[in-house]
Amino acid sequence: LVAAGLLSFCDGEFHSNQINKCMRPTKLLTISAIAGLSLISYGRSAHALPVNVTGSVSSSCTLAVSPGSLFEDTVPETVLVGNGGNSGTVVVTCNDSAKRLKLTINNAASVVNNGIGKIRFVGPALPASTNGVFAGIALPLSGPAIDPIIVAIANPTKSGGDTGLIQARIEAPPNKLLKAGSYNLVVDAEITP
Amino acid sequence: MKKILTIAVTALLSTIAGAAHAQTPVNFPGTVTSACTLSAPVNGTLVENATPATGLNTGTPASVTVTCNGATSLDIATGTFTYPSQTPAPLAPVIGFTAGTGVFALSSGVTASLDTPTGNTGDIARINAVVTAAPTKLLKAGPYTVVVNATITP
Repeated sequence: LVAAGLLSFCDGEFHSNQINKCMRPTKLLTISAIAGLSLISYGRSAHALPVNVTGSVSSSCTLAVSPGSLFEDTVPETVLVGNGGNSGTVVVTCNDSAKRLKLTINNAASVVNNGIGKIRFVGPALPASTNGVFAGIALPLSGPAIDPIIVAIANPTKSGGDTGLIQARIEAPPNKLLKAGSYNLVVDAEITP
Repeated sequence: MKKILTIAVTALLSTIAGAAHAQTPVNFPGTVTSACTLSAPVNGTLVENATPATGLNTGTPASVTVTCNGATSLDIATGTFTYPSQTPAPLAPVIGFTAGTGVFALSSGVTASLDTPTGNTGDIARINAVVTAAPTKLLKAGPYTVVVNATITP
């Protein structure tokens, strides 16, 4: 913008001291920045006047979840697993990189009997229409379970939201079977500052 | 008698011819100097198109005042576009004239004709800008600024 103004001054008619300014663009740049370009006239050359159009986008983050299910993965039963098509899903619609997706096992609401609940968050690589900012994420990638799981939302999601998968498992204690009965692993999903 | 008549006619024609040479035109030449001024820039505003936003539309148009009697056009072009870092980046802003005053009353697009002189105190050209997120994406929260350069083309 200022460069355009500088060009204008140099193209038009001016006094000798202004010629000196044209020969010293750094100085003119400073002068223009301080004075502001509020009026530009011309004789023969084109001149530009900048004008701003400004606004801001407000922070907005929402999520929607759908439940998964657990199935017996081994015989005898030492573990219940909810993955693949049995995963829970979380759809995040968010435009604020300061926010995080937080997944926490709700121990008070869960029924795990003698087992131990674990969760994992996965951003499927496909389909591209739904994965978005979570594509390729696996927390934990390997090793010990994480609870809670914190997922960054580095870029805006799709306007329809981006989908991540919540995998769950309930493991029996070492060298033990899972007790017969009903199980329910409850995971709280929330957007945190 | 015939000779006298001939002499009389010749004299009359000479008199008429002499009178025609006496009608010398008196001119008043002058020139109007071409002068154009761009002034009084007023910043515009952008507003969210939804919550959460996939775009920003013009709230209040930006404007400049043009006082001009001898230019071809007023043109606008996007200068710098600043926005919160995001991947993918928003699309390039779309700018254009919207209804102004005087010669700019019907202006649209990015070129406004200045073939007709403006009012003596200037006519106001108003400028819209629209920001759009990458396809299917939201715009990242934060400030957005579109700088529009208005240029008079002689």
